[in-house]
Amino acid sequence: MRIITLECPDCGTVVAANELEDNRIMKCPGTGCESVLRFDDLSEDDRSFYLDNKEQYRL
Amino acid sequence: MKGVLLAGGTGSRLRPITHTGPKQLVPVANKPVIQYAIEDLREAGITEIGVILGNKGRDEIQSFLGDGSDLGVEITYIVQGRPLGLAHAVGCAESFVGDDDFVVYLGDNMLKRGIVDVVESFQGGEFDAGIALQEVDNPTQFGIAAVGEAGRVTRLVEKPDDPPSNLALIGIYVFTPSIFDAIEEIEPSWRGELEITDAIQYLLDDGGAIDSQVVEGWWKDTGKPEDVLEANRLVLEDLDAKRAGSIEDGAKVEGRVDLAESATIESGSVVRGPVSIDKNTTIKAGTYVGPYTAVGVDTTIANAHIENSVVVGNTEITTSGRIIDSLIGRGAAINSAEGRLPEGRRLIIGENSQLEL
Ligand SMILES: [Zn+2]
Repeated sequence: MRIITLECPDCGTVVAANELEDNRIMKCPGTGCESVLRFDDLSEDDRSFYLDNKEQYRL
Repeated sequence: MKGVLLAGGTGSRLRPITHTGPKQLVPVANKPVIQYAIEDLREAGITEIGVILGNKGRDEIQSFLGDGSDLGVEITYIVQGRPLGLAHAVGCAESFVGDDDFVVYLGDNMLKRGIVDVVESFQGGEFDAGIALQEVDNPTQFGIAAVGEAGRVTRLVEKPDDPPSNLALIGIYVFTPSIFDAIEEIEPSWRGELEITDAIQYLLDDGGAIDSQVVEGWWKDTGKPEDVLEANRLVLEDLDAKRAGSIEDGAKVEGRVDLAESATIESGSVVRGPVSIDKNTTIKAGTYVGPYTAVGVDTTIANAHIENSVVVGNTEITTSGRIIDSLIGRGAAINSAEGRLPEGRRLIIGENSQLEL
């Protein structure tokens, strides 16, 4: 199964696509990091793959 | 080599303790379970650790671990979110791991002897992965490995009806980045989770070499209350006790008793080790604290008899009854009903509590 994640460019914290999709926009959960992470920050390919196969990511 | 520490899961078997915090922070001998895993990784020379967070208890775990500097490691958080399986959790760590080999450690597991042997065994050959095994009495309840010459794994089976060995997989794995290709190839199991055993089996089927190491000494999965008590007993058995706190004249203290600097054992009480008593806690007159008991911070015990128990902390116990084999959550109060009428027990109990009266 393809695992889709986003890495915070500022602190390296990693967030899985299901979490990004649940929040759409979120403050980076890294300790002391102020960056904002968005589902839309994923590549277009990752986003469309995730949305086409949403069921397997939403247990 | 890097470390990936799993700190997700719901902790449902540890309710009500886990209603208010993640299972990885339940204390064993007054230290959160997850801290033992961090110390094992550090002892194996691993200081770059990715901590995988699920849906639950994230803030508590992050506020305890911080950036890792207090524990001598460097932590990167990896938010898995939904519990899509161990292989999904590992897969989420790909960008953190990069081209390194890495150890995966389940954050609610404890090992007496640490992971150095497992890591060294893996590094002693050209392997695609390494797994830690331990002999079990009931192999039909575990993931079981069939092992050939020199510890080479030949097959993995989940809860087999006809077990090929009694060697169970425990929650410690060593991987190379080839595991990420295997994870991409496998599909979720019947329970909807991406299984790490399927990913390792994929490596095997692909001609990969999988090392195994049978770990010596005890191994505990602290998922249930009785397991927490058992782990607490095992750790206290090897306790390196320092009596830094104050012990009044007239208190009877025997055996290995680890007493935090700001803790007090008052006159007229008996403490028989191995026992651990944490900061700002007072054992008052008339109390007996028996072997294999850990009492957390900011707690007062008066008149009670308590043994083989874990008191998480911020607790008041003034009952004169006997408390044994108990796990008492943070902020609980167990007071005396003596002299109160009508006679009887007065209970305010949270959901999923278990009492034997
Ligand atoms: Zn960040």
